[in-house]
Amino acid sequence: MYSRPITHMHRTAFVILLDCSTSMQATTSLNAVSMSKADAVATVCNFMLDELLERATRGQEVRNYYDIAVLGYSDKSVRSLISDPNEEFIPIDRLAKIAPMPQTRCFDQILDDGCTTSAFFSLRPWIEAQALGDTPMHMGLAHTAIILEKWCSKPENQDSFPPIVFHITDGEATDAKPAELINIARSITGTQTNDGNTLLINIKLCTEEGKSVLFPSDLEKQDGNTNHLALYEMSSIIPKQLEPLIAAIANHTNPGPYRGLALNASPCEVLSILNIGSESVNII
Amino acid sequence: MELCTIIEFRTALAQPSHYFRSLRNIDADLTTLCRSRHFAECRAVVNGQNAIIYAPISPVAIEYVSRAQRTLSGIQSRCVTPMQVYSDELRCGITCERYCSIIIEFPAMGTPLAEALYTMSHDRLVAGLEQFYARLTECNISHNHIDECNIIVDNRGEWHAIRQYYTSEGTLGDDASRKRLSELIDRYALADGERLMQLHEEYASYGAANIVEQRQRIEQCGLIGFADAYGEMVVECKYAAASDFAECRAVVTDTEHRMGLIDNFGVEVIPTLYDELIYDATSGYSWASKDALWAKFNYLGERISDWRDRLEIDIDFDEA
Repeated sequence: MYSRPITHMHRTAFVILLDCSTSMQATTSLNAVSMSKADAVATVCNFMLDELLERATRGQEVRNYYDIAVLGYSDKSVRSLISDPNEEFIPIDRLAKIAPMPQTRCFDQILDDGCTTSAFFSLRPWIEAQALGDTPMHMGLAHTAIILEKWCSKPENQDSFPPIVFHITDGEATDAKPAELINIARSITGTQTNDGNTLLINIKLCTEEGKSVLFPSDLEKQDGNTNHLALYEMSSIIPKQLEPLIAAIANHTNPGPYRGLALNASPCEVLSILNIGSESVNII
Repeated sequence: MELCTIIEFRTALAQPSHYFRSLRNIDADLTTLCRSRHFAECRAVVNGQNAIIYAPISPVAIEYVSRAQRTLSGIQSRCVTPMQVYSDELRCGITCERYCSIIIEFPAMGTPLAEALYTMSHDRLVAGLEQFYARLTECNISHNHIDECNIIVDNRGEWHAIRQYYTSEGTLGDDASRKRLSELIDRYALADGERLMQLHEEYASYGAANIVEQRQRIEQCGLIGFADAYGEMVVECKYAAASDFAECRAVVTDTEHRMGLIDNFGVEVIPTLYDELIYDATSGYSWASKDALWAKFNYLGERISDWRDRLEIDIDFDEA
């Protein structure tokens, strides 16, 4: 299980599900630059999309290794944030054809000797920050479950590495209670290919200064927050194959199994978590 | 050792002084950045020496490097290319909060076996192969991924393995590759090295300074062809004009003033049938005209548009 190499014959799918509610207008900082959470999340998502495109590129050709969906929920609706709003999954080779021109961002960087210098990185602005309305998380998860059900049921996907869903939020659902969220999350993790069930990784962005909890093995000992416990229950158990990656990101010394959950995550930690998606793909 | 993303690797190579902690004087050729299954790699000049820099992009890569380091430790042989692991060398992450190790190889000056197969004599290649495998046996190691892209053949005909992160102890891992390479040599290598050397002396080379992408233009009886870096003819001298190679493609004009596009072994990917041909190395597209109509071709030479009037075809003639 979770071992199927990804080829153009056995593709996989990634879903990034973003909370685009008003609370994402709150300020956070990315590399000491103050920006809205929505901006920070858009930046790290763009980073991941660029990386997935790079990984599918061999020579001058982009190979059709995976489908990607980036969905946003807010204000009683769920929509695609890339390309055609009515088309959720886009094959990577088609995404390459509509790739926006890269934009360069400058930032200060502290060198090992303590000196500060300016560095830059280039990213394609695949998605733009959005933050308006309430938080229909249940609706977003339900929509994700539907498109995954459809994706997994296609005969050509049945032997594929299972889809990975990254759900990034900063708040609490306005359309459902924790028990309902757990149920709908289970309909996501219930979708499957012959290589395993869909992996759902929930990431709650930091709302205030505090220690982040990344991929806990047992949340109850650390946190009594009901909503956090609900997110814990909603998240997939990380398969054995990915445990070394997770342990490195989370600096875990304790053994797995870990849950696909990050609480109070900074934008940089979110990027590390998203990178799991690209680093775990076993592309031929 | 931490993993690196390709974007992080690219960003670091573009600004080495910011992202490399101890290495200085790195001049990377970002057009060569590519990925294999477990590593991203890029050619670069490091402290004045030609090098290939590798960054691990999958968890298995780290296991491979550790094994290769253990296996190659203390081995000094001409079949092995010096490989150095720089621990925690590359700053990664948007805030550079992580450090990734990189691997650098300093390959011998020479030509990849993939190219040598078509440009060197059979005898020379067979001798190189025998010597190379004997050296691997002597060192009791297997490269495990020997193919025509992972061997550099130097100007003495000696073979040197690159991408040695696959190396393990014992000699059982390369038997199949030896058989396969032997067959390739028998099928493709030039049978008569002597005849080739005589030919070399007959034509007037444009000079080694004009080598672009391992190819130099040569002239014979007023016609243009191409030789490899050793001066061995690769593309027969039959064209009235030819551009330099860019991304393994060159625009050629035959003696009937018809234009086409060749690959770096002289195969006409777009035959010399056209009145005009424009090739854009960045996109890989070409635009060719015949009887005042234009069509667009992809990198493989396949026509991907209808024949249209010049004004209707999507080409920026000024830029191309």
